[in-house]
Amino acid sequence: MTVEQLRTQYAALLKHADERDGLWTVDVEAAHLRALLTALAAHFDYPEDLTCVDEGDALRVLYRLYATASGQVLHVNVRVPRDDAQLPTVSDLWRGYEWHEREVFDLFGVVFTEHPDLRRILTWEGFQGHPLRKDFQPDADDADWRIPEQTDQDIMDLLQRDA
Amino acid sequence: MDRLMQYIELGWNFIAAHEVLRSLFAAVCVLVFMLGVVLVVIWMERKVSADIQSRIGPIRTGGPLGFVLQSLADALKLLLKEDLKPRGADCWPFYVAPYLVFLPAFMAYLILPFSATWIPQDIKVGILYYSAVSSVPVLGLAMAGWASNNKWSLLGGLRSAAQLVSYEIPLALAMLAAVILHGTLQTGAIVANQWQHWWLIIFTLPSLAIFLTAGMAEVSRTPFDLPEAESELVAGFNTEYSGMRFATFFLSEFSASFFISALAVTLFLGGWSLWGIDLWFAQHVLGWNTTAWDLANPATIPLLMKVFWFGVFVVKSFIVLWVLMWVKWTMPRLRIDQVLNFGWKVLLPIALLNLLFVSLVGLYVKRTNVEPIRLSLQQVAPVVVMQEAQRE
Amino acid sequence: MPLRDFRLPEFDAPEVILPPGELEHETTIVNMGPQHPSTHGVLRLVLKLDGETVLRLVPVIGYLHRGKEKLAEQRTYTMIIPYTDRLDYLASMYMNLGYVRAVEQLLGIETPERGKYLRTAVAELQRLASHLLWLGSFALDLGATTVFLYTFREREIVVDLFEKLCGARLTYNYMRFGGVAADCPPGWVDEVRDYLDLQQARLAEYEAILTDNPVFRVRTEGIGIISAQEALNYGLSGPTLRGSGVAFDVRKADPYDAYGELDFNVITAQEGDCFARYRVRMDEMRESLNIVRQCLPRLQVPGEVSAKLPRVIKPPAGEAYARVEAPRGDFGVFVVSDGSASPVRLRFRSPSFANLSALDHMCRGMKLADVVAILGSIDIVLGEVDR
Repeated sequence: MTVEQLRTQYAALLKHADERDGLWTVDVEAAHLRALLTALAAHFDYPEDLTCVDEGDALRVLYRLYATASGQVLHVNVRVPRDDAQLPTVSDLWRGYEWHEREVFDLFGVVFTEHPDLRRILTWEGFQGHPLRKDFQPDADDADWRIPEQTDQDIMDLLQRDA
Repeated sequence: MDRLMQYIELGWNFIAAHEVLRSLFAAVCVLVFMLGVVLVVIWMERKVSADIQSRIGPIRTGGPLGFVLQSLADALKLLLKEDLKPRGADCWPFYVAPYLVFLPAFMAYLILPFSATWIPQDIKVGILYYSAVSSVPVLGLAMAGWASNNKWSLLGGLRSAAQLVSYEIPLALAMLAAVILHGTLQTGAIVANQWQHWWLIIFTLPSLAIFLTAGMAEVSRTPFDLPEAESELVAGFNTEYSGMRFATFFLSEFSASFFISALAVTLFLGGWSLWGIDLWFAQHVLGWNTTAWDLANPATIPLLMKVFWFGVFVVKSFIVLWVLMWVKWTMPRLRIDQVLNFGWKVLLPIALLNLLFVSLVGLYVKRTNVEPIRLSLQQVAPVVVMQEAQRE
Repeated sequence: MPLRDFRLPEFDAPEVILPPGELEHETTIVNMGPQHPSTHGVLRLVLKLDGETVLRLVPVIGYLHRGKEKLAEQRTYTMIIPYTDRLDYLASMYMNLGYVRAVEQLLGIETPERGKYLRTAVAELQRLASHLLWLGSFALDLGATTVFLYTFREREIVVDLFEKLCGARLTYNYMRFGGVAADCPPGWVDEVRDYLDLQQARLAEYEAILTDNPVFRVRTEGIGIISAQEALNYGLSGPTLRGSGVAFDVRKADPYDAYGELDFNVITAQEGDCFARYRVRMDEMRESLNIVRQCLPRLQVPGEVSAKLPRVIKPPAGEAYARVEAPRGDFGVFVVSDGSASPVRLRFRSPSFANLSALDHMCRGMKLADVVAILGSIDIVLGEVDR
């Protein structure tokens, strides 16, 4: 696959696609993300990274995919509004993204709909806010950083659900 | 001075004359021996492991006496530590469990023939007695696991119950091989028989291997140290124990390890004897009249010889123990299902085959000088069972 | 295009089916960690057990989260280098290297020849040190205490070599944009050569105590199997991925520093179990020795070790993604710059994080003791998982 093929094949889904130093960068609307990634999952079999950048007016979620057969790297950028950050999950396509999506949810507050287990991962249960957003105030006067009494209710629910 | 010796002799005669006092005296001697040995065993374990792991091991405490003082210092430290009981623990099983493990470990020592005539309790059914006593610690371990109110402890307790019960059978079968060959359950007589028929050792070597393997499992040493598998179960059944109670577990474990080695020496490696070389030496080099020696009459044997035999016994036991340590510090740990599979599907059939082999050998071995097992009904109940088994 | 039309087959971890019987099965939920001898730091695992069989496992992480990515946004580029040391503290050199390479991409600078070879040699020595520590702790997890002492004895030599290089023994802070902080001291190359010879012989010693040990074999063979397809889908990397037969190695796939000019193999094993991962790491250590050996002649040629750079580093606006093959796998660093002295966003893609996410999959249906073996075999460092 070349970037041209990518561009023509998925013209309807892509906003923008280019190639620089062997790295393909693709911009996509949130609405088309799921469809595009579903189509690409067979080729890009390795979910290398998933992260997010706070760009001020929007949150840019970056999917970095790798094709082990061709050595091709693809960056898929998708921008979501800060106050209503929602994206469909792709953790069923790449299981490796399950935790990465949890991390982006935890640190940036992007909600991945239909995620099987969307809990905070690096911060604790009951943490207020999303620390990697630029407007996060760690030293706010009313901030309460005490760790709540550990209940593990969500983990217990998870374990019970499987029983 | 003479006066003092007189008093000692008087006291000794008094003790010897009363069975209860004699037993008590023997028990105290054994306890002292056991505690002393454990101190050395712990130090030795540390030194041997250090040697294998290219370290130095403990060198600071006690200087040249470090082999005793190091462990003594450790014990003292543990003694001074706070004795904690977790909230929600089942109180009295929690407190009793360590002693339930310790007591059988001590009781087993009573049947060891330390020297030709130094046998604390030379009971006619010594081996059977050990089989009975050795099943008690399971109870203590399971109790400790249960009472701690900790899931890791519980898993450790369950593991030890499963493991110890499984390995008792091959252990007993291996001992049975020695019993069949020597025609007696009396440990002293087994050693005496080996003393006179040194070549019997050829037939007991497979049993020795089985015995040591099962024995390692019985005293929970790597590769069978699952009940307290540190990397999995934190510390298994003794996770919640501290201070003296922990030390008691520790003590019983090490004394049990030494006991397994000592019993292996007794049953399969000639016990206190040097397979007749000692006799030859006494006769030809020292010029002693050994023909007058009679194991039934201790007074006929010089004290020096008894002490020498005692030394042989201890040295042999430590050599076997060293082998156990060697295995421990080079092997990874098995998994619980693998341990049980190995016990039931590998070791048990091998032990049975070995028993068959030894029985066939036993048929052809002429049992001279061996007193047949004579049992009278006055003796304890298990003996009757044995008698029934004999008849069949 | 309809959603969810593409699903990789058989991706749900095997459901554990209990044998039918009259006995009632009652499950237990056990909490393993964050204080547990075998969770390699502060990992917490919540296990659902039937007897000792693991039905489900939920890892809980974040106990070592120090917000490095957030901290980096307040620091200048140079100040961040020591922060990266504390990610994977057992392979600090790689953490340095990954970050430094990402910023170099932004700056568009090249490392001098000698600096490249020095970096490569140091990185491979670090891989040796890291794998040695892994081997020791893996054996320790399986109950074999002795190997741990052996591997630490040799790791100590590497650490001493690093100390001579940069003065630190654990958190090195050695890599710089466009090179390294300091050239190696005189005689260092010979010491490295002596070490390589020693290590080659000692590797055989470890193998003698483990590889053919029947107990070690039954504890590792067939335990924690993950297939190549599953491993890829989970985003595993490093020896954990290569143990499943996928020959993905950043050093080959995307060569950096001197790797393009060196001759080495990517080690793989097919089985995907703990033993395969063990074999991959053991052979990888040999391969590392080989790589360092190839670097040594080039280190005897004098030259610059670092490019000339201004004191204050202000990369042009833009973004860069650099990855290096750390001992635990594909370590990626993503930097976004707006032209100021500190990054807008710095992201560390940690291999342990991805590797750990497959733990539940690997552990289902295994015994409790296997969890420890599997966790040991995927070799996580919590500093890097939690960041």
